Amino acid sequence: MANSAKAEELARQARFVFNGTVKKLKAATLPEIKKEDKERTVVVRVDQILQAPPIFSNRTGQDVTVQLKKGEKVSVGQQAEFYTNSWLIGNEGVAVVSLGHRPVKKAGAMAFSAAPVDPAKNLAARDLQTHVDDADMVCTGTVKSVRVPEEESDTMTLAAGPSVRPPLSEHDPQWQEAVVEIDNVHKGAHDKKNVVLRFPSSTDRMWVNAPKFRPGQSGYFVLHKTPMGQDKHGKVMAMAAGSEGVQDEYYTALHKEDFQPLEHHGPLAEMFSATEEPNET
Amino acid sequence: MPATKSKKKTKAGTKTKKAAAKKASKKSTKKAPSKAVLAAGVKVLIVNIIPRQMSFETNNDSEPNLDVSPTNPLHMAASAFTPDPTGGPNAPIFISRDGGKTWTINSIVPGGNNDNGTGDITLRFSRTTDKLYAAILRGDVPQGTLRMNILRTDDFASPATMTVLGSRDRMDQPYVQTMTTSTGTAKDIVFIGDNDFNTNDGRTATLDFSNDAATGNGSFRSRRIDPRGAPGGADAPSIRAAVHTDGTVYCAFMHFLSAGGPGATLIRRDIVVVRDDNFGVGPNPFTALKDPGNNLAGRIVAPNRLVPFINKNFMGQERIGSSLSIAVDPRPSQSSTVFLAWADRVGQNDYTLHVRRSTDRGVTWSSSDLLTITNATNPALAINSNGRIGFLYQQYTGPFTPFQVSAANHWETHLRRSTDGISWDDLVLCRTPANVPAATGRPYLGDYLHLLTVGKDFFGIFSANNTPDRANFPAATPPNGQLTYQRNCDFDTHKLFDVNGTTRIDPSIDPFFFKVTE
Repeated sequence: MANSAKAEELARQARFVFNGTVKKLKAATLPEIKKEDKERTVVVRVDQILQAPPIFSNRTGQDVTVQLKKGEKVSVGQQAEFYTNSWLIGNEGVAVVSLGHRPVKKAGAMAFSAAPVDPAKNLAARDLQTHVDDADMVCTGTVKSVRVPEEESDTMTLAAGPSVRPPLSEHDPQWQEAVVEIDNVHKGAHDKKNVVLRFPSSTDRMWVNAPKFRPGQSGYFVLHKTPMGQDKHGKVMAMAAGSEGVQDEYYTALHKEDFQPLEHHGPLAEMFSATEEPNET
Repeated sequence: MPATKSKKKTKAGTKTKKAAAKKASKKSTKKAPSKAVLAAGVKVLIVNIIPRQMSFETNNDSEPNLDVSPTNPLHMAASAFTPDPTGGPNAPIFISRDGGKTWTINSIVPGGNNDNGTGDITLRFSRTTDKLYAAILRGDVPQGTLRMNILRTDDFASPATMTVLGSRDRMDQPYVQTMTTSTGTAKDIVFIGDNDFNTNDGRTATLDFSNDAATGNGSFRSRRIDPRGAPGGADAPSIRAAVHTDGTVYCAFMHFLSAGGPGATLIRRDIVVVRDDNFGVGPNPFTALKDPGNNLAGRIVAPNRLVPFINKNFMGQERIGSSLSIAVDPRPSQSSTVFLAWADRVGQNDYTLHVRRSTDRGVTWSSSDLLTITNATNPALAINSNGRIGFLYQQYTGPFTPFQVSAANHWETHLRRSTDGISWDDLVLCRTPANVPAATGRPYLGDYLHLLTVGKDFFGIFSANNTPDRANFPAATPPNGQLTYQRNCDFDTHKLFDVNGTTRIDPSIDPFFFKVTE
C-alpha cells in the first residue's frame, strides 16, 4: 500500500513519466548545462513514455538529461520509471528534474493501471480531472442572456460626471454575467433553474483565453466560486479570499477549460457520461 | 509527401550562411528602407529566441524584457508572455549563457498559467553578482487580483523556483531596475516602478525599493511619488525609474488631470519626473526636484498632454495609452544628464513619441523634442559608456485609419542613436506586416520592450511577426549584420516548421534579442 501511495503521489506531481535506461552519469545532452551543473545530471534514454505533455510525447528513443534529486542515485544501464518535471528546453534537447524513480516493473503496474495508448492524453485527462476536482459546480445548460453586473452598472452610472473614472489598467477584466439555464448539475449543489456566472469580456492577454459567452451557447460549464467586491467607483473586482471589501462569492468561468460546447463531445462529456452512466441504467 | 520535398524541409534552419547571406542581401536591397545602411564598424546580431524544441509554438509572445548580467555579460535573461510549454505551474524565462547566441527556457517564475505564463513581467540582474530579480503580476491567483510578486534567484539557470520577496494585490505593470553603490559596501539596490491602486486619491504612481535586496526578503519599502491627488482618476500604468551609481534616482510617471470623450478614453496628463539623490534613503524621498509652477515634488516636463487610453486594436492591432521611458547617463559624475520619452497625441488620431533631455538634474528640459516619431509606441532609452543615447521604438507605418489594419501597414522596430541628441542614426531592426498574424488578444507586440547598454554596446529585445524572411530584418543584413532563428524555418520559402522539420507552422509573434556593437 505504501509503495502504491508513493507511486501515485509521484505520478500526481510529475508531468513527464517514462521508463528509461541510464546511459551516462554526470553528463548532459544540452550544451547549455555547464560542467559545474553536471554533478547531479545523468543522460537517460527514453524507452517508454507513460505520461507527458505534448512537447515531450514524441521522445521515445531519445536521450534526455535528468537532474537527480539530492541523494538520488542511479547507475549506468539501470532501467527505471522516472517521475520528472521540465527544467530546460533548448535547441538540442530537453532537461528535466527528477522527483524520484522506481523500478520499472513494480511502479508501472501501480501508477498506471494499463499500458498508455497516448501519454499526452493521459496527462490531459489528469489535468482536466484536477480542474474539475477544484471546481465548485459543473453543469450543462444554455446561455439565456449576457449583461453587465447590476451593481457595477448602477454605481458607475451614479459616478460623478464624465471626468471621474476608475483607475486605468490594461488588465481590466470588464466583467460580464451570463445567465445559464441549467439542464443537469454534474457536480456541486444548485437547486435553481438558472445559474449566473461571471466572465471577463476583456481580450487583454490576461483574459483572452477565458470563455466569452453569448446567448444560445449550450455546453458544459465548469464554475469556480471567486470572491468579489467593488472599488470606490463601483467597479467590480475579483479579490483574494478574506481580503477587505469582499462582498460575495460568484461563480466564474476564467479558464479555457471552463466551457465545452455540447456539440464538441469533448472530454467533459466523456468524463460525465462515463461517471453518470451507472445511475442511468 | 514526396521524399525530395521532405528532405528539403527537414534541412530547415540549417541553410548555409553563405546562401542565406546572398539571398538576404538581394532582398534587403529590394525592400529595406534606405536608413537601414549600417555605419562603418557597426555590427548587429538579431536572434529569434524561441528554442528549436519549441518550434511548434504559435503563442503571442509579446511584451518582452531583457537583461545582461554586468558581472558576466555572457549571461542573459529575457521574458515575454510565454507559457510553460509543458503546462507546469511555473512560467518560463529565456536564458542565455553564451552572450545571446543561443537561448533556452527555464520555468522558474512562480504563479504561471497555461495561457500567458505570468501577467506582466520584467527582470534585472544584480549589478554585483549573478542574482536575478524579477517583478511580476502572477497568473495563478484569482485573475483580477493583480498580485505583484518581487522575485529573486541566485542562479537563473537552476530549476529552483524563484523566491518570493514580497507580494501585494491591486498592482499594475511592475518595472524593475537594479543598481549598486559606487562607494562603500556593494549591495543590491532594486527599484520597481508600479501602479498601486490601493488608494482613493488617484496617487497611484509608486516605487517599491530596497537598498539591500540580496539579504533576506529585501525589506522592500513602498513610496507613492505623485504629490498631487487626482480623485477623478489615476496615474498612467507606466512608472519608470532610472538609477545612477551615485545615488541619483529619477522616476517618470504620467499624472491624471481629466478624462473625456468616448468612454472617457481621452485623458489629459502631465508628464512628470521626480528625483532622489540618495537611493530613496532619507525622510522625504523623491522630493529633490520641485516644479516651479506649484512648488511640489516632481518637475512637469510636458503639461496637459492628451494621452488617449484605448484598450482596443487602435493602432493596427495594438492598443495605446501608456508609453514611457527614462534613462540617466551612467558615467561617473554625469547623472545630471537624463533623457525622457513618452507618447501622446498632437493631432487628430495620432500616437506620437517625444524625446527630451535635461542636463541639470531634471530642473530644465529641452523646450522642443529631440526626436518626434508619429504613430509609434514602446519607447526605450539607454545611454552607453561613451554617453551615446539609444532610442528603441516600434512605429506603425502605411496609411493610418484608427481601428483598421491592412497589408499596406507594417510595424518597424528602430534603434536610433546619437552622441549629441541632435544627429541620430537609424537602424531598422525589423519591418514586418502589421496585419499578420491576426491578433489573439492584447497587447499585440507589448505595452513595453527594453533597451540597455553594457559598456559601448546596446542590447535590446522586441516582439514581432516571426515570418522567416531576411528582408524583414534590414539591420541584420550581412556582412555586418547577422540574423539567427533557433526554431525550425526555411528562409528561402519564408516558412516555419515544427520540431520534426516538416509540419508547417503558422506565423506568430516572437521575441527577438538584438545586440549592436561598434
